[in-house]
Amino acid sequence: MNEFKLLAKRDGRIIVNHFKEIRSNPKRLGIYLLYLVWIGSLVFNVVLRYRNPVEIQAQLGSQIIGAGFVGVGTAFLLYFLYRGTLESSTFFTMGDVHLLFPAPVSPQKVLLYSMVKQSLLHIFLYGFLILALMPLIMNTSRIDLQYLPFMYLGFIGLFLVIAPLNFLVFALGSKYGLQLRLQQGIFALIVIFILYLAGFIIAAGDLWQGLLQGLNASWLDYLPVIGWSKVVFMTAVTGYSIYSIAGLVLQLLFLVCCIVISYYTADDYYEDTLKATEQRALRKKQKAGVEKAQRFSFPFSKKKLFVRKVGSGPWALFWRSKVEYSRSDFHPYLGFWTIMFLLAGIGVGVFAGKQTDGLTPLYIVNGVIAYIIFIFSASNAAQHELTKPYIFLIPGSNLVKIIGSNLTDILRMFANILALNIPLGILLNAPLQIIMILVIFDVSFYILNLSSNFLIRIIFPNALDQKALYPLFLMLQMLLLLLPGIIVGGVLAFVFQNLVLIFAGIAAVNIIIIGVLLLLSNKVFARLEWI
Amino acid sequence: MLKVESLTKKYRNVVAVDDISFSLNQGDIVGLLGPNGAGKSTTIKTIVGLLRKNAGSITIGSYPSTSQEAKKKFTYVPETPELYDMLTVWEHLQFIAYAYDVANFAEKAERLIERYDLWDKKDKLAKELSKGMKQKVSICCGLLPEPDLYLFDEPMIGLDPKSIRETKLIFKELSEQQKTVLVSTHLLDSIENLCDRVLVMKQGRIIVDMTMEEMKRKLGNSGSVSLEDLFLEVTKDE
Ligand SMILES: Nc1ncnc2c1ncn2[C@@H]1O[C@H](COP(=O)(O)OP(=O)(O)OP(=O)(O)O)[C@@H](O)[C@H]1O
Ligand SMILES: [Mg+2]
Repeated sequence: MNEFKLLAKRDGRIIVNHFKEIRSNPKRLGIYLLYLVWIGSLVFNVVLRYRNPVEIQAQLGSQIIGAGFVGVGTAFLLYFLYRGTLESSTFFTMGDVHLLFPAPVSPQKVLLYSMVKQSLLHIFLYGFLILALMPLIMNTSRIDLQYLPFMYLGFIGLFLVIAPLNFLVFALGSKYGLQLRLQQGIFALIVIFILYLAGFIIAAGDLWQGLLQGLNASWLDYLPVIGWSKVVFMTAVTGYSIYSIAGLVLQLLFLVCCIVISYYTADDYYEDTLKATEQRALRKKQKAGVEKAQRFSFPFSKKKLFVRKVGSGPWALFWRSKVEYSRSDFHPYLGFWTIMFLLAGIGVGVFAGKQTDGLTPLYIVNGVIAYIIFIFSASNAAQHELTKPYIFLIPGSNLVKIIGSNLTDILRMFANILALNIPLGILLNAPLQIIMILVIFDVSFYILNLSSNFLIRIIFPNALDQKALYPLFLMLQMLLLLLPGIIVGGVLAFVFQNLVLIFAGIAAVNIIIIGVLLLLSNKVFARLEWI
Repeated sequence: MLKVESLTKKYRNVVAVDDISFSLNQGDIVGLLGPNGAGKSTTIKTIVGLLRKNAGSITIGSYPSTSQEAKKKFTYVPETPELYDMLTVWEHLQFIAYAYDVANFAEKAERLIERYDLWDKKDKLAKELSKGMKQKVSICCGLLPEPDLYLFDEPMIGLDPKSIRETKLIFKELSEQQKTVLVSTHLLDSIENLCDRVLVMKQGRIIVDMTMEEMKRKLGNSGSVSLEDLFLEVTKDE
């Protein structure tokens, strides 16, 4: 059978089934509607901005945009090229691996079809990204809406080549044993790029000036991929010229070349894509909260270890996570991140200590940390335990189960925050009570998130819904859980004219909410299911 | 020991278990049979409290099944083994021992591990085990607390012949110790001489609940009928 027809039929069925599922469960439509509202608000924002553009300086604005594009784009490109020497990118799902790969179909055609399909999909998906960036771009410089399609094509032109290029690098590298050479080449490119920028910075005698000049140098426009897509991208800012079309054509040719070369070199790539495909499947599951994210662990994975019993019943969950952490780290409570936090604390302390006398850096750092903790701990932590039946089966109080399964994570976070704040506080001469308030403030966000994780399971028991609704849930979580604290903290700080009170107020409200969530644990557990 | 009354469980709009009732007395070894999708796993998971029932009542030794007292009385072996990747075989048993407050667990755990030929795998991480070995660990975890009621969901899947025989032997011993066992399985000959009673489910309902003798008697033609024949007879579509 014709491979393309087969695959197109399969994808057709998948799309039809998606629609069928929506029809049988129209609640889903609500989710998509919310996304539409979100996209609509972005467009609306763009339109509003266009009427009253805030211009910095015509020249400077376009330079900033150009430099941003080249800087970020080059970093991306180099990163993915480097990744290509280590692992392949994947265009496949686990279903493909198990059903399609063993079937009598031509691997080359399968690859070609999948690459083209992914490219078409990305043309659409990355559109949202540029849409989201539009307000920022429009704030920086006046742009010509007439040439907006160029901006869009330049942007996706860069992203479209990344996956095929990465695949090609891996395929060629592993086929001809060139990985080391390629890696050296990429490192050389990185070094050249950095030296190049350093030269401009030194010549200009100013970091920003140097970067702007270096990244906007006109010869860069002739560089493949990054330069070409920049020319196309900048059409909307600097105006149309024949080079815009030339860049577009070159970029397209490059993409087609990548795909064609992949087609002719790739005949035996199944094994190469296996690891990346598995990892992608795992990441999908993690997003859905079905699987715990793999933590960073040191290469030594200790086999033999002894962890003392910490209690019976639900406390066994605490013992269990201690064992896991002791195995993957050098201490159950201290690990890689403790060192990172410690270094960050010392670094910021030394740097900020020279610049200012006040405690502002301390507040800023802790505010940012709390925010990051809240956003990023949402998907992993206690979810892991909920994927196993034991937390449901073990006899004992539900309150202790929640505490027991989270305690190691909390203590670890506590250690990290201490490692950050103690050197930072000492270097900035902060009073001890302020440091303590900030530590409690940060940790309270972490615990708040962990204890609300169980709620996610109840509100969205279906893993797929969890994934689709994840951004929405984050927003809700922020509104419901963070807002009270921020309001109380703000009011306190305003009334007493004292910044520390913001932090103390928020921490106090967080702790109250945690208390309420924990008291509700029995109700929560009665509604949890293990499907 | 276990009493299920008019239990109903729905997944969204699918009725997976439809108003079933049965009870197990102390010392009963009961097989839960039925074609794929009959609702066996759903029934067991609802008894265990992993799923919420939509209607009906479940009591374990006179306690409601979700109470702490009930949870101390039973263990459950899931359909597919769910282990912690970063724990060793031995640590799994240790974990269960702490969770269920098992007295002198080391001795018991050693015996179980020996019986299932896991002794040399004792310090291996779960993620390094084969599928069948994971299943064995999962069974050991279910056996270690020595509760009154055992709920097994297809425990023999993926086991090698020796472990299947060992599991059957263990069931025999449990029956001698007057323990209660509910085991769902498709391997009919493996429970033929083991169960005193079978429940056959089909499309969420219990269509047969009889002792083995009754079942054989009902279908007449005496000795030569195997459980498989009986099963196919009662579950066939009209
Ligand atoms: N998570 C789920 N969501 C929706 N429906 C489900 C889910 N799990 C099971 N079902 C449905 O419930 C019914 C009973 O499934 P169950 O797993 O209890 O069957 P089973 O008797 O254990 O089958 P098997 O012998 O294959 O293990 C089936 O119709 C199945 O489609
Ligand atoms: Mg089942």
